[in-house]
Amino acid sequence: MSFVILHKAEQLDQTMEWLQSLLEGERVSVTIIHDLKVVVDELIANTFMHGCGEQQDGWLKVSLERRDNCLSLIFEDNGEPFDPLQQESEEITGSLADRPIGGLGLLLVKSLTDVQQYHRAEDRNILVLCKNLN
Amino acid sequence: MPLDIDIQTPSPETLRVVLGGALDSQTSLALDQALDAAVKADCQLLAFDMGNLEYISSAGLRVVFKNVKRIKKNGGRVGVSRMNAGVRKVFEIVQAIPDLDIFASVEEMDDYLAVLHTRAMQND
Repeated sequence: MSFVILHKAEQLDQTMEWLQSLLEGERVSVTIIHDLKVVVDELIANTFMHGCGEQQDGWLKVSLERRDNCLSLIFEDNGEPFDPLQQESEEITGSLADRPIGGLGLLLVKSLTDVQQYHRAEDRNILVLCKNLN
Repeated sequence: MPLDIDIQTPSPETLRVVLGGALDSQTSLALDQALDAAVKADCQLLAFDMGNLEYISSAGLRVVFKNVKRIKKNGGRVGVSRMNAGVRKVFEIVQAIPDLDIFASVEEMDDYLAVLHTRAMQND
């Protein structure tokens, strides 16, 4: 397992470089690399906007693990209890002109990964997202 | 990864926005500000060339949708060309494709821009 630790949202770039390099090493497709970059951006933005962003010593650890044909991204932070999977998603029926423009991050995370699990342990938020490679 | 933004005005009522790199939570503000400055009330077509755009997340979608709303309110249209498979998937997930004119190539989009420009000239 490999991981990076972030202390602010502006460390997105270095996280993406880490992810790109690992995924290329795993020989996964360009489309899967794309999907996981979107997911990582959503979670980093979300984590530092809620919980972690308020704290002086807030951190977010992002890990990547491969088991057979499943890639797991694990997001662990020391912010206030916050389950991003329980956020309200916006309704996306109708034309763009008539609907809100925000609230799409969680929909993307759920659509671009196959399994999502949240739990709270040792004062940390832990979110595990799995992507099947088949 | 930075976001490259090149805004061109091929005709008075048309804006072409060529994007490259990553349109995400760190870069979307730059595009938001660039479009706020460039999109005028009489803009009838906003054409995004996404050929060099590696990925787009919800922060980027928010900026695109804000401008779709703005242009459509004035009866205009928004075109997108050369989306990669991942970018297209994101637009499909949020069900935005029906609101956009999708072009496979820049040439196809340019032909369309030319037709719209001719129509606009005839109507003047």
